[in-house]
Amino acid sequence: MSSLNQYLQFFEANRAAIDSHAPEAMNCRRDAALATLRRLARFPDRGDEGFEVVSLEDMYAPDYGINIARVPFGEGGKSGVHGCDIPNVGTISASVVNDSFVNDYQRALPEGVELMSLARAAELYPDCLSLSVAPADNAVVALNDLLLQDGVYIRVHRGVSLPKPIQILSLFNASMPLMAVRRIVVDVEDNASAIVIACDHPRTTEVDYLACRVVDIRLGRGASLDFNDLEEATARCSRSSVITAVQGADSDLHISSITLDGGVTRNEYYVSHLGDGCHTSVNGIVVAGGTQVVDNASYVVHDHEHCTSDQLFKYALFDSAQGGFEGLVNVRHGARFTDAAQSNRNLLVSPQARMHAMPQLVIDCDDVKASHGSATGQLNADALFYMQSRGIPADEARMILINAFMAEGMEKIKHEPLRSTLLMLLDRRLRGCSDSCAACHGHH
Amino acid sequence: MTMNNDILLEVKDLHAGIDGKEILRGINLTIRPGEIHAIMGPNGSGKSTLSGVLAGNPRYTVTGGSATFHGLDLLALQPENRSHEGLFLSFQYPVEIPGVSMVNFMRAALNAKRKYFNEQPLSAGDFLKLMRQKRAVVELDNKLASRSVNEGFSGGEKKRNEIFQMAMLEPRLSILDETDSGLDIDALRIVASGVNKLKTADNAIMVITHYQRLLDYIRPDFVHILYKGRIVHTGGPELALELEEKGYDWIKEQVDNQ
Repeated sequence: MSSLNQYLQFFEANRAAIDSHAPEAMNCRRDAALATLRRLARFPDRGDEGFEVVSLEDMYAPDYGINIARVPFGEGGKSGVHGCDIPNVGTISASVVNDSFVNDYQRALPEGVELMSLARAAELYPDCLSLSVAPADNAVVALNDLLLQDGVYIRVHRGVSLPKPIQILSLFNASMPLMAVRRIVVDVEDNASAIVIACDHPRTTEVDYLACRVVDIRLGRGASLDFNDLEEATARCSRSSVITAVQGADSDLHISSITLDGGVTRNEYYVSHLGDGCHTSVNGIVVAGGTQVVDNASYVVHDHEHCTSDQLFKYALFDSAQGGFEGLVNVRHGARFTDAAQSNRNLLVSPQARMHAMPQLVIDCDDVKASHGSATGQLNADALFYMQSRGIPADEARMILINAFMAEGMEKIKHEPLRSTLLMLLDRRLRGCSDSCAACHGHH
Repeated sequence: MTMNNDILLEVKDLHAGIDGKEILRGINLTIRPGEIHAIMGPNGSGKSTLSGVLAGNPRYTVTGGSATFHGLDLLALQPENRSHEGLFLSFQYPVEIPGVSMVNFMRAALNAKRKYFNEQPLSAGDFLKLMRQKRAVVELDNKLASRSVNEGFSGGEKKRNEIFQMAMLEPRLSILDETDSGLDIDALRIVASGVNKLKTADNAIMVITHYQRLLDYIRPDFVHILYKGRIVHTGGPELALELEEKGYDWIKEQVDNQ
């Protein structure tokens, strides 16, 4: 029996309650989602194509509570922002506590920027939920559609350039196992530009959490978005995330995904272009320890001319952590003068860590430039000894080498204050991993 | 003077190997402050193994004997503590470390040493001043100091960088492992002159080399010939000249016929 069944049964038994706490623009999408899920009959499992290390069947199997009656619980608000490790980057902020939008930004928003509950936005702009370019049979997106009641809506109006980042803090805070269905919609109109920081943290860590999260991004012509996605959770948090982006001509999209801690994480990225001259960069940074599992699947489709993309995913795996990467660049017929690069590099810090990588190129067009590659290795023993021979203690030398390995990914985070903060978090996480697994790789 | 009667390094019957194969078969060597020792010998005689074992390279396994470094059991110390205690190895093949700048590398090294001796870290200003001073010893370009460790350095630059690090760390015993390999005459002169500038009555140098050439610049007090994992002959500087002239065959014959 598939773990999907419990969600279908739950939905059928509670549909009226779900609908009554959500706008029509969300409710009207549930029938199609239900049909998709019935047809799929189950979640993807380990061994299915593209699922080498993560089973969504397993991830969704536990009996999580879902707060469909929108009973307010869990604190959030201002204290929530202060609980985040990315303070003082001068942000405009909003929180999602469990699955509810909390408007805790007290000041007036800049001209030309909208930041509101997705439930409210769906009433004002019913089309805002139709941006997704995920494949029609994506189980996570369908489940998200089936149960969605709220989320975050960000819109930057035509020509508006927003120098301050918008920070969306998604928190878990419950006393019982909880699943949160979250969606973030980011609409950056023609020639507008924005920086978004999305952070996932649990406020309490005594129970298990699961996030079913979808982010839909739309960039207008000449628009630019820097989307930074940080997960710093605990071993009791699982996350299945789907980020979709559709880019207008000459637009510029930078996604940086930083996974520092968590239980089981599955991130999917689907990017497509609507016109010529787009640039896409998808940058993944993973530090995993313990029994953490982190899986990234990144799909970039080129079907217009003069578009460029680069994907860089770097993993540092400690203990018996497992990493997965599946990347696809699909250069379709007619996408001439494409320049696409995809790279995955992994450091197995412990002998028990495992990495599964599958970089792929599918090219149906001449006159394009495309490259892909993946490399997995261990810390360079010669470099370690060289550093020790100069007086740098082994643990410190290891930290310096791992930080240096990750630096390439961190340099791609364009917003300087955010990059500095993330470098600090990365170093702290690396030191934490190193301390916790010192017994298995050091001190000999 | 009692000072020069102190023993800086005393190696006794040292046995060591790699992957179960014995390479050093009973090394005996005594080095006092102020001395320069040259270790010469044919390929495969164990010269680099000796330097690796003394510096604590985990590739090698010590199977017997001892090494006492100013009273400390050298072989019991971690490589980093050997460095703190004043041992320095100039690598035959300096390692490239992409992404780690020379500045951060040296700062980590120096501050680790200060921490070991319960001293406060150097201020940024003092550290950079020190870098500037020591760079001058081997005429190392400022640009190299801001690059990643040894990355993209020429052969000569790498060796100069080794001596620069030696200058920064002010060791009591420096082991120069084939520092002359891959150097042209000009670079050799700069490196040797750097080493000579750093030489004092209190520190000592062990020069490992194939050739007499380096010893024209760094004048040894003792020349040892290493063959099949043992020091088979010790003499003064004239021994190096003799080797240059006659090669190693006469030594090999002497030893092999014993």
